[in-house]
Amino acid sequence: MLDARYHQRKKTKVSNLGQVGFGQGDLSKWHSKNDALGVRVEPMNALTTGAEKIAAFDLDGTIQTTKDYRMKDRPYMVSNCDGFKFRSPIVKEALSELYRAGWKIVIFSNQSQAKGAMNGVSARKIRERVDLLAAEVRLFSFSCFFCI
Amino acid sequence: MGEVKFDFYCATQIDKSDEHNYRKPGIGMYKEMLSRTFNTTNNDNNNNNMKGILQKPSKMFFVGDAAGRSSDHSSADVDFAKNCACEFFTEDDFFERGAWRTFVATKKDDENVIIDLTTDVSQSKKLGNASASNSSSSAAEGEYA
Repeated sequence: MLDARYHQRKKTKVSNLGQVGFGQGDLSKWHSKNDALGVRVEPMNALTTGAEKIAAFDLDGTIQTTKDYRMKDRPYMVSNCDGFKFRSPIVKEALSELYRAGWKIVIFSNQSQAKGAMNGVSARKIRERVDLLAAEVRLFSFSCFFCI
Repeated sequence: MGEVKFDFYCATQIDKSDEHNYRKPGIGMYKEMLSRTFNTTNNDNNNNNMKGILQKPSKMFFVGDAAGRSSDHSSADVDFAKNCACEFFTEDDFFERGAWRTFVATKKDDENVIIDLTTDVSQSKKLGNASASNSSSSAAEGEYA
Protein backbone atom coordinates (compact mmCIF):
# COMPACT_ATOMS: atom_id res chain seq x y z
CA MET A 1 0.00 0.00 0.00
CA LEU A 2 2.85 2.31 0.87
CA ASP A 3 4.53 1.51 -2.42
CA ALA A 4 1.40 2.42 -4.32
CA ARG A 5 1.20 5.75 -2.52
CA TYR A 6 4.80 6.60 -3.33
CA HIS A 7 4.26 5.63 -6.91
CA GLN A 8 1.35 7.99 -7.08
CA ARG A 9 3.37 10.80 -5.57
CA LYS A 10 6.11 10.42 -8.10
CA LYS A 11 3.59 11.05 -10.82
CA THR A 12 2.68 14.44 -9.39
CA LYS A 13 4.35 17.31 -11.16
CA VAL A 14 6.78 19.02 -8.85
CA SER A 15 6.51 22.41 -10.44
CA ASN A 16 2.80 22.60 -9.73
CA LEU A 17 3.31 22.27 -6.01
CA GLY A 18 5.25 25.48 -5.57
CA GLN A 19 6.51 26.42 -2.14
CA VAL A 20 4.23 24.26 -0.09
CA GLY A 21 5.41 21.07 -1.65
CA PHE A 22 8.93 20.38 -0.41
CA GLY A 23 9.01 18.13 -3.42
CA GLN A 24 6.03 15.86 -3.42
CA GLY A 25 4.43 14.06 -0.54
CA ASP A 26 1.59 14.32 1.86
CA LEU A 27 0.79 17.96 1.30
CA SER A 28 -1.12 18.28 4.53
CA LYS A 29 2.05 17.44 6.46
CA TRP A 30 4.98 18.84 4.52
CA HIS A 31 5.63 22.55 4.58
CA SER A 32 8.48 24.78 3.61
CA LYS A 33 8.77 28.44 4.41
CA ASN A 34 11.69 28.79 2.05
CA ASP A 35 14.39 26.70 0.43
CA ALA A 36 16.43 26.42 3.60
CA LEU A 37 13.89 24.60 5.77
CA GLY A 38 11.63 21.59 5.31
CA VAL A 39 9.02 20.83 7.93
CA ARG A 40 6.82 17.81 8.42
CA VAL A 41 4.24 18.36 11.14
CA GLU A 42 1.40 16.18 12.27
CA PRO A 43 -1.96 17.90 12.57
CA MET A 44 -2.22 19.44 16.01
CA ASN A 45 -4.07 17.39 18.58
CA ALA A 46 -4.78 17.72 22.26
CA LEU A 47 -1.47 16.08 23.12
CA THR A 48 0.75 18.39 21.11
CA THR A 49 -0.95 21.77 21.11
CA GLY A 50 0.97 24.09 23.37
CA ALA A 51 3.03 21.14 24.59
CA GLU A 52 4.92 22.00 27.75
CA LYS A 53 7.29 19.05 27.50
CA ILE A 54 9.37 18.65 24.37
CA ALA A 55 11.65 15.71 23.64
CA ALA A 56 13.94 16.69 20.75
CA PHE A 57 16.21 14.37 18.80
CA ASP A 58 18.74 14.36 16.03
CA LEU A 59 17.95 11.93 13.21
CA ASP A 60 21.15 10.55 11.67
CA GLY A 61 23.11 8.39 14.09
CA THR A 62 20.70 9.02 16.94
CA ILE A 63 17.31 7.63 15.96
CA GLN A 64 18.37 5.95 12.75
CA THR A 65 21.56 4.42 11.41
CA THR A 66 22.28 3.18 7.94
CA LYS A 67 21.81 -0.49 7.08
CA ASP A 68 24.75 -0.58 4.71
CA TYR A 69 28.13 -0.67 6.47
CA ARG A 70 29.89 0.10 3.17
CA MET A 71 28.43 3.61 3.33
CA LYS A 72 30.63 4.36 6.33
CA ASP A 73 32.38 7.33 4.74
CA ARG A 74 29.22 9.13 3.75
CA PRO A 75 26.75 7.20 5.84
CA TYR A 76 23.69 9.39 5.65
CA MET A 77 23.63 10.40 2.03
CA VAL A 78 20.23 9.17 0.99
CA SER A 79 20.42 6.97 -2.04
CA ASN A 80 17.66 4.63 -1.02
CA CYS A 81 15.04 5.82 1.40
CA ASP A 82 14.71 2.27 2.70
CA GLY A 83 18.41 2.14 3.65
CA PHE A 84 17.90 3.12 7.27
CA LYS A 85 17.06 1.27 10.45
CA PHE A 86 16.42 2.18 14.06
CA ARG A 87 19.59 2.57 16.07
CA SER A 88 18.42 -0.05 18.54
CA PRO A 89 15.15 -1.52 19.85
CA ILE A 90 15.50 0.79 22.84
CA VAL A 91 14.78 3.76 20.55
CA LYS A 92 11.34 2.36 19.79
CA GLU A 93 10.60 1.70 23.44
CA ALA A 94 11.86 5.10 24.55
CA LEU A 95 9.93 7.05 21.91
CA SER A 96 6.62 5.38 22.63
CA GLU A 97 7.03 5.61 26.39
CA LEU A 98 7.94 9.30 26.16
CA TYR A 99 4.94 9.93 23.95
CA ARG A 100 2.67 8.14 26.40
CA ALA A 101 4.10 10.23 29.24
CA GLY A 102 3.00 13.38 27.40
CA TRP A 103 6.23 14.45 25.68
CA LYS A 104 5.95 16.03 22.26
CA ILE A 105 8.55 14.38 20.05
CA VAL A 106 10.46 16.60 17.65
CA ILE A 107 13.32 15.77 15.29
CA PHE A 108 15.83 18.44 14.22
CA SER A 109 18.08 17.38 11.37
CA ASN A 110 20.74 19.03 9.22
CA GLN A 111 20.56 17.58 5.72
CA SER A 112 23.52 19.04 3.91
CA GLN A 113 22.93 17.07 0.75
CA ALA A 114 19.81 19.08 -0.09
CA LYS A 115 21.75 22.17 -1.01
CA GLY A 116 19.64 23.41 -3.83
CA ALA A 117 15.96 23.97 -4.27
CA MET A 118 13.59 22.06 -2.08
CA ASN A 119 12.15 20.37 -5.11
CA GLY A 120 15.40 18.62 -5.95
CA VAL A 121 15.96 14.89 -6.07
CA SER A 122 17.59 14.64 -2.64
CA ALA A 123 14.82 16.69 -1.05
CA ARG A 124 12.32 14.20 -2.41
CA LYS A 125 14.34 11.29 -1.07
CA ILE A 126 14.60 12.81 2.38
CA ARG A 127 10.87 13.35 2.41
CA GLU A 128 10.18 9.78 1.39
CA ARG A 129 12.55 8.56 4.05
CA VAL A 130 10.82 10.55 6.79
CA ASP A 131 7.37 9.52 5.61
CA LEU A 132 8.54 5.93 5.88
CA LEU A 133 9.92 6.55 9.38
CA ALA A 134 6.61 8.10 10.43
CA ALA A 135 4.74 5.04 9.16
CA GLU A 136 7.11 2.74 11.08
CA VAL A 137 6.77 4.78 14.26
CA ARG A 138 3.01 4.59 13.98
CA LEU A 139 3.21 0.80 13.65
CA PHE A 140 5.51 0.11 16.56
CA SER A 141 3.41 2.26 18.83
CA PHE A 142 0.76 -0.40 18.66
CA SER A 143 3.10 -3.35 18.99
CA CYS A 144 4.75 -1.78 22.03
CA PHE A 145 1.47 -1.20 23.80
CA PHE A 146 0.55 -4.82 23.37
CA CYS A 147 3.93 -6.13 24.49
CA ILE A 148 3.91 -4.33 27.82
CA MET B 1 -2.66 6.34 24.13
CA GLY B 2 -2.72 6.42 20.39
CA GLU B 3 -0.27 6.46 17.59
CA VAL B 4 3.17 7.80 18.30
CA LYS B 5 3.78 10.87 16.18
CA PHE B 6 6.65 13.23 15.72
CA ASP B 7 7.32 16.57 14.07
CA PHE B 8 10.29 16.82 11.73
CA TYR B 9 12.38 19.89 10.97
CA CYS B 10 15.09 19.69 8.37
CA ALA B 11 17.62 22.41 7.53
CA THR B 12 18.72 21.93 3.97
CA GLN B 13 21.40 24.32 2.88
CA ILE B 14 25.02 24.66 3.86
CA ASP B 15 24.84 28.10 2.34
CA LYS B 16 26.47 30.81 4.43
CA SER B 17 23.74 33.17 3.36
CA ASP B 18 21.27 31.23 5.49
CA GLU B 19 19.98 34.24 7.38
CA HIS B 20 17.55 32.20 9.40
CA ASN B 21 20.18 30.14 11.23
CA TYR B 22 18.21 27.01 10.49
CA ARG B 23 21.21 24.74 10.50
CA LYS B 24 22.34 23.38 13.84
CA PRO B 25 23.96 24.76 15.96
CA GLY B 26 21.83 27.75 14.86
CA ILE B 27 18.46 27.87 16.57
CA GLY B 28 16.29 28.79 13.59
CA MET B 29 14.62 25.36 13.56
CA TYR B 30 13.98 25.60 17.29
CA LYS B 31 12.29 28.99 16.87
CA GLU B 32 10.21 27.68 13.99
CA MET B 33 9.11 24.76 16.16
CA LEU B 34 8.15 27.13 19.00
CA SER B 35 6.08 29.36 16.79
CA ARG B 36 4.27 26.37 15.30
CA THR B 37 3.71 24.67 18.65
CA PHE B 38 2.45 27.73 20.48
CA ASN B 39 0.85 29.47 17.49
CA THR B 40 2.96 32.55 17.99
CA THR B 41 4.86 34.57 15.44
CA ASN B 42 8.42 35.52 16.19
CA ASN B 43 9.06 38.65 14.18
CA ASP B 44 12.69 38.71 15.17
CA ASN B 45 13.61 35.43 13.53
CA ASN B 46 16.74 36.50 11.74
CA ASN B 47 19.15 36.25 14.63
CA ASN B 48 20.67 33.46 16.62
CA ASN B 49 19.67 34.40 20.12
CA MET B 50 16.63 33.86 22.25
CA LYS B 51 15.36 37.42 21.84
CA GLY B 52 11.81 37.77 20.65
CA ILE B 53 10.75 34.34 21.87
CA LEU B 54 7.35 34.72 23.43
CA GLN B 55 6.69 31.30 24.88
CA LYS B 56 8.89 28.35 25.71
CA PRO B 57 8.16 24.82 26.88
CA SER B 58 8.72 24.34 30.58
CA LYS B 59 10.75 21.20 29.95
CA MET B 60 12.87 20.30 26.98
CA PHE B 61 15.87 18.14 26.21
CA PHE B 62 17.80 17.31 23.05
CA VAL B 63 19.49 14.05 22.14
CA GLY B 64 22.19 13.99 19.46
CA ASP B 65 25.35 12.25 18.37
CA ALA B 66 27.44 15.27 17.31
CA ALA B 67 28.70 15.96 20.80
CA GLY B 68 32.30 16.89 20.08
CA ARG B 69 33.67 13.52 21.23
CA SER B 70 36.83 12.30 19.56
CA SER B 71 34.90 10.05 17.16
CA ASP B 72 32.21 12.62 16.39
CA HIS B 73 32.10 14.56 13.14
CA SER B 74 31.21 17.82 14.88
CA SER B 75 29.80 19.34 18.03
CA ALA B 76 26.74 20.81 16.30
CA ASP B 77 24.25 18.93 18.47
CA VAL B 78 25.70 19.84 21.85
CA ASP B 79 26.10 23.45 20.74
CA PHE B 80 22.51 23.46 19.48
CA ALA B 81 21.27 22.35 22.91
CA LYS B 82 23.40 25.01 24.56
CA ASN B 83 21.98 27.71 22.27
CA CYS B 84 18.43 26.54 22.98
CA ALA B 85 19.24 26.49 26.70
CA CYS B 86 18.02 22.93 27.10
CA GLU B 87 19.49 19.76 28.54
CA PHE B 88 21.68 17.65 26.25
CA PHE B 89 22.23 13.89 26.09
CA THR B 90 24.39 11.81 23.82
CA GLU B 91 22.61 8.95 22.09
CA ASP B 92 24.55 6.43 24.22
CA ASP B 93 23.61 8.07 27.51
CA PHE B 94 19.99 8.55 26.58
CA PHE B 95 19.12 5.21 25.00
CA GLU B 96 21.72 2.61 25.96
CA ARG B 97 22.50 3.86 29.47
CA GLY B 98 18.82 4.45 30.16
CA ALA B 99 18.62 8.21 30.82
CA TRP B 100 15.26 8.24 29.01
CA ARG B 101 13.63 6.34 31.85
CA THR B 102 13.95 9.33 34.16
CA PHE B 103 11.65 11.31 31.84
CA VAL B 104 9.01 8.63 31.64
CA ALA B 105 8.38 8.02 35.33
CA THR B 106 5.79 10.50 36.56
CA LYS B 107 5.68 11.75 40.15
CA LYS B 108 2.72 9.57 40.89
CA ASP B 109 4.57 6.53 39.65
CA ASP B 110 7.56 7.46 41.78
CA GLU B 111 5.43 7.68 44.90
CA ASN B 112 3.79 4.38 44.16
CA VAL B 113 7.13 2.77 43.53
CA ILE B 114 8.54 4.10 46.79
CA ILE B 115 5.51 2.96 48.78
CA ASP B 116 5.61 -0.44 47.16
CA LEU B 117 9.30 -0.77 47.78
CA THR B 118 9.13 0.19 51.44
CA THR B 119 6.29 -2.17 52.22
CA ASP B 120 7.88 -4.91 50.21
CA VAL B 121 11.29 -4.34 51.69
CA SER B 122 10.05 -4.24 55.28
CA GLN B 123 8.01 -7.36 54.75
CA SER B 124 10.72 -9.16 52.95
CA LYS B 125 13.20 -8.09 55.63
CA LYS B 126 11.09 -9.65 58.33
CA LEU B 127 10.48 -12.72 56.26
CA GLY B 128 14.07 -12.77 55.16
CA ASN B 129 15.38 -12.50 58.70
CA ALA B 130 13.01 -15.12 59.93
CA SER B 131 13.79 -17.52 57.15
CA ALA B 132 17.46 -16.69 57.33
CA SER B 133 17.62 -17.43 61.03
CA ASN B 134 15.58 -20.54 60.47
CA SER B 135 17.70 -21.74 57.63
CA SER B 136 20.93 -20.87 59.42
CA SER B 137 19.83 -22.65 62.51
CA SER B 138 18.67 -25.60 60.50
CA ALA B 139 21.85 -25.50 58.49
CA ALA B 140 23.81 -25.31 61.69
CA GLU B 141 21.84 -28.17 63.10
CA GLY B 142 22.41 -30.05 59.92
CA GLU B 143 26.11 -29.43 60.12
CA TYR B 144 26.44 -30.51 63.67
CA ALA B 145 24.04 -33.41 63.41
